[in-house]
Amino acid sequence: MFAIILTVPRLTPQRPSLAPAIIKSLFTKHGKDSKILDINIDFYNNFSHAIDSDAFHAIDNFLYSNAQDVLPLEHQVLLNHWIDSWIDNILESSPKHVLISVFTWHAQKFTKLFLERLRPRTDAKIIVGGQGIGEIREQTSWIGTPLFAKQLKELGLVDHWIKGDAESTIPLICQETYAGKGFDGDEYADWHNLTHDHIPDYSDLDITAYHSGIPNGVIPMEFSRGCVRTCNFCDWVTSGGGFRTKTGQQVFTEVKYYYENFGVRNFYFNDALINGSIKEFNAFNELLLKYYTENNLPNRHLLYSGHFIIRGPDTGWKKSDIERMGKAGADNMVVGVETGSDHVRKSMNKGYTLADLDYNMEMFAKCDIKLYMLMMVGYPTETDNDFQQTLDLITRYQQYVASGNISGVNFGQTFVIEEGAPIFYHPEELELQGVDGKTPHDVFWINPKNSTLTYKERIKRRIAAQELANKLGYPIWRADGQLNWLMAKYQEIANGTYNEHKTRIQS
Amino acid sequence: MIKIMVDDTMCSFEGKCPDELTFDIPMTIGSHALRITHYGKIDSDQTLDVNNNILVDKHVEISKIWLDNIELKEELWEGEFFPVYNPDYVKDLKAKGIDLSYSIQPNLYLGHNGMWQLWFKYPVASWLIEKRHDTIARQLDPDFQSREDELNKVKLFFDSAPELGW
Repeated sequence: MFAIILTVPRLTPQRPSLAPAIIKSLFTKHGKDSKILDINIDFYNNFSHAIDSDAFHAIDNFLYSNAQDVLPLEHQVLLNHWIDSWIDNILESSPKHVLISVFTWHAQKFTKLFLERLRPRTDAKIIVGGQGIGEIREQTSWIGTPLFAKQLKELGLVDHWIKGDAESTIPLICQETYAGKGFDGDEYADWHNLTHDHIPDYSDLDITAYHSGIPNGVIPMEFSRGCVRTCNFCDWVTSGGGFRTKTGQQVFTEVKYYYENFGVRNFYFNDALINGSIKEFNAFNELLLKYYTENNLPNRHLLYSGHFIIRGPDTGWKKSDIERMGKAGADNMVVGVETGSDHVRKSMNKGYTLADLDYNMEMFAKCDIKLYMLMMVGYPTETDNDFQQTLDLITRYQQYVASGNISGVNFGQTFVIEEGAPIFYHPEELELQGVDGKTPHDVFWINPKNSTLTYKERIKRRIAAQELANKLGYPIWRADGQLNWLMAKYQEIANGTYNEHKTRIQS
Repeated sequence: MIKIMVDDTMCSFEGKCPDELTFDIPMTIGSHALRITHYGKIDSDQTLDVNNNILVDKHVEISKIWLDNIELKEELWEGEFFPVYNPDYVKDLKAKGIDLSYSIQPNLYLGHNGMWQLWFKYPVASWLIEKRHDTIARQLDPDFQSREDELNKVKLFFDSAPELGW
């Protein structure tokens, strides 16, 4: 076997990962045989039942928690036994390469434990990739040196890391070159042309084994990479390559293929936005509707969800476009709403107004489309009045919770300056200052022009927003967990123990 | 003809039944009754064939109701119709051993004169969220559950937490 591609815990088991399916399709394109093994789903579906539930939760918590660095011996034994059985399984195929997709920092602890047991047993080239090979802060990022991968290589646990689009790096693995852009470096190997004909290949996986709650499961897809917007808090602006999109025809062909071959009717687009190109997005929806007509299928026979950007009518985004997407099967649109204030939204460079949001939301409600709100409290320019406008928006949009058109809200953990975001490189644009003479970063920033917005005040607003949303019946994503996380972080900062560069393998 | 009232205090509409009607009324927090009264139907508004099959039946049918811009769905079927039966109709059925019920529920077809009543609460959004709790997306998803005591604990912490000076 040329390559085994692994998905490792701990990831939410709602659906398979997209990256291994893309990688497999690329191997096939280059005439190499490969197989995807999803250890993550086995963790939930089998390992969880094979051991005592307390032991499973202890292991699960260990893998997930940043605070817990040591697993009790009896649990370690169970985990090792399971890992060894997987390694036996992998080595049966005598793979020439083992590729591990480290999706987020949640997968870092397991990856290291797994490699410590795999490395001594094989000479196969072990290669890690994915956004989780980076450093941990609040989230992993493509920016900078992939510290996790670097440490794994220094420990001799991996041969290489790859950073970037698989279309750039997998052909080099097929040539057994292991060098070039994207290999063992900081540079992101981007791939500009998404208009290819290979379809991400899930044939090794049982789509129904995942915990989507939908009988035939959900298949992850991508419409595009990168983003058309330049929000100044987002590291996508400077990382991961610029915006490039598949054609609507291409995405439709993939959806049709998955529906006709796997019977899957629900699709989740992983990319930063599905409507970066209005032209291609509209074409995709047109093709779905045509397919329904030609096959005597009702509207919304196939459903899709994903991240979506708000556009106003002045951008050419018409009500008829929203009607079309509703009929085609747009289900749950994840939108960076961020704030109820146009003043704040403008300083974020979000590129749309509250009126534009209302324009879309009113149509969403008419067209059976749901909105999932991503909110950001405590942006540096947010005044009391701006924050009140956010509360007003939450109140006003309660009607859409009642109608079932708001599927949830995520309030986040107050505004954080992340490396890679335009505001990280140009804090002077908002006249921000750092704390203790340092550059503004993370939550360590001050806006002298909005001096009452202390870190504590940002958190208090964050709590107030949640309290209101709670009262109004909004489903709030990980509400308690996020608040407890904020409290713990505040305590660590106050007592000087906060480590903003802690990684999973630090110990 | 129809008459629409919310509670017994104010008539919001009275006249020939329109296809669609919108009206604003002041509301107080709490329970209220929306009442739609169908009246003025007479014997000649119903046409029968020689076999007593109904050919034409003047009626009012409630197809959709929005409250505060939110469409009522399953809740519509909670409306109860209190018919004022035609005495001849009552007599005919009684002769066949059928006793007519005092009210009909669920029912959105007002074939008889009578009053259709739906209880609701204001604010409507909160009432509907409570009623639809189990069907609204993610209300039952553990990742979307939150506990008031957790919120209060964190609130209390930050109420007394010292400022960091920035």
